[in-house]
Amino acid sequence: MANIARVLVPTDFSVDSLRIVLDYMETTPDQKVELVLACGYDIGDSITSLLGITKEDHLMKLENEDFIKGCEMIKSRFKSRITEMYSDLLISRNGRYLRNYFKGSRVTHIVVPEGYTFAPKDRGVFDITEILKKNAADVGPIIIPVVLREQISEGIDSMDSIFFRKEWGVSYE
Amino acid sequence: MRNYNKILYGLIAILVIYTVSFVVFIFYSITNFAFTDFYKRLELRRNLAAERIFNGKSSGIQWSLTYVEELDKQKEFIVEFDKDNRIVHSSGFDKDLWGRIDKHATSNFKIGNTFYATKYYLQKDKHFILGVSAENYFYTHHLNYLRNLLIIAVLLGVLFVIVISLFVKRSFIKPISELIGEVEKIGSENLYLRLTVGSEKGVLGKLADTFNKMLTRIETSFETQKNFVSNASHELNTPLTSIIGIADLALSKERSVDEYKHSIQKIADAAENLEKKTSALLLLARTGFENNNQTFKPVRIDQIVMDAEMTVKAINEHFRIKTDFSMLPDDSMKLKVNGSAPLLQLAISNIVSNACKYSANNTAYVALGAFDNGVLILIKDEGIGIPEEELTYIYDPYFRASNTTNFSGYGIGLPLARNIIKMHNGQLSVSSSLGKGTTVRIEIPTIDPRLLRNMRLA
Repeated sequence: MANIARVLVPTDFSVDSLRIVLDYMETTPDQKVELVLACGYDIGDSITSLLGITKEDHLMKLENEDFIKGCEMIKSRFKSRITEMYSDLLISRNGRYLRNYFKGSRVTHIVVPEGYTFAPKDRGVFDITEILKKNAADVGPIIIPVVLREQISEGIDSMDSIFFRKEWGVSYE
Repeated sequence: MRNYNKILYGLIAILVIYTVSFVVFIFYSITNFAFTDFYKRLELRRNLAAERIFNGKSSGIQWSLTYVEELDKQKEFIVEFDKDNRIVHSSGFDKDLWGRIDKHATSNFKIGNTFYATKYYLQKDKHFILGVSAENYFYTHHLNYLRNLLIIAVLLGVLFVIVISLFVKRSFIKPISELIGEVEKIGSENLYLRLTVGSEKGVLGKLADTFNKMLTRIETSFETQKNFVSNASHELNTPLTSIIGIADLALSKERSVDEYKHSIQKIADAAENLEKKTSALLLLARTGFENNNQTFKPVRIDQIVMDAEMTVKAINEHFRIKTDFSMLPDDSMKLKVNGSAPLLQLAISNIVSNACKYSANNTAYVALGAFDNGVLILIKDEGIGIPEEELTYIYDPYFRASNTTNFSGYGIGLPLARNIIKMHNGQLSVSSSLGKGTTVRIEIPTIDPRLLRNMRLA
């Protein structure tokens, strides 16, 4: 188990944000990983939503079909390297909560994207890049910065963004 | 339909005959019973009268009055006759009846509503006929009532049978005639129409579904032909024109041998090009006329995409295709779909050549990826795009977007591709932004690996 890294990758549940995962996977070609796609999400403070709505309900609402397909595609692309891939919610900006979360869920690496702007579709979603950077250092997970290439064109189809990321090289003329 | 009516009328007739004969049988049995029963009662009274008259047991009267009720218009009569059957003496007897009476035994008969029961007696060497007559109240009143009741019941029953039959007929025939009406509307010019499959899961629903599948196949096959013709007329013209041009130019005046050689070489090149195009077009056209699910085989989608691209390039050498296979899965099993390779190749090459045709740089970007139970093909261009309000019509045959007037084409490729993808239980969706480009997304379900293993074992 020791050689499998549990990597936390921030996401906003858009297909576009899966580019972070892809870039990370390509920068570390030999590492076996367990991917945790984490999203900052404010679940609100009403007692009914705290008691009645589970994490799965929230995730179900947040993950759209294309995002799941994108995840499945990444998983089948890196089948030998990704042992597991799942989504999780970070429900507070509180530093202590985050440090406990890292410890509790034994996150070994944290990917911090640069050049990616979060475009949350849901009201509760917030950008966790900065608080990840701030809180990870004390507890131990290694921070891996990933610099994203600027998006080539605005995606017409939402699946565009995980394809055509490189300069168009491959072709057989 | 006429046959159907015949069966229906036959059924109605059988039901009516059954009802009528049933009623007649009931009426007959009850009448019969009423007669037998009444004659028995008459015989009892006749015997009582005989006891009283011949044996003088008058005390019996009391008994009979107590226990045997007087019948309606009950009359007794006695006739004495000689051995030549001539009436000697009679009391209360209507002589017209003499002929009907059995002179040596019992006889029961009825005249009008009056019933008679008579018997022969021999007393002190004298011959007597003793009889009782009475009116059968049950026969005159109750049976009439029963008869009327049964007639009304029969009429109502027949009416009921007819109404129900017509209702059933209509409810049977209505969906069928609707189906017929819909099918009649479909001709070779509007093969894109489909029958409405109602919510019912019955035989008719299946029928409509089967019709629809058949229509998709027919439409695909029609479109394949049209596609070939449109491609051929368009693509074969260019090399032909150049061959004719070069030949005309060469023949226009005397030239040196080298010049002739040069011209002939050019003609040969153009002809070769023409041949390449023809064979590529024929490859696309040979989409098998036995395209049904039975001929679907496991095929690798990446191979098909590459073949399709090769074909597009063979048909038009100006087209450039850039392929992103970076998301190709580790496991090649995830790329196997159950399908017909020529059809899928036709679909993809159509979309790719459209993507090239409608973009200034003649370049299409193709990407391929596999999710859990399907493959996804993205074909993207940076071309003229499709106006948003026209996106809903792009699957209609012969529809061409308003901004395509400068491009040749017939509007067959996309509907054809969509039909082919539909035949493979897949989905084709187009998203576009005017002036920026178009992305076509194709999703086709892959074969369940377990299924594939079973197929191999079998």
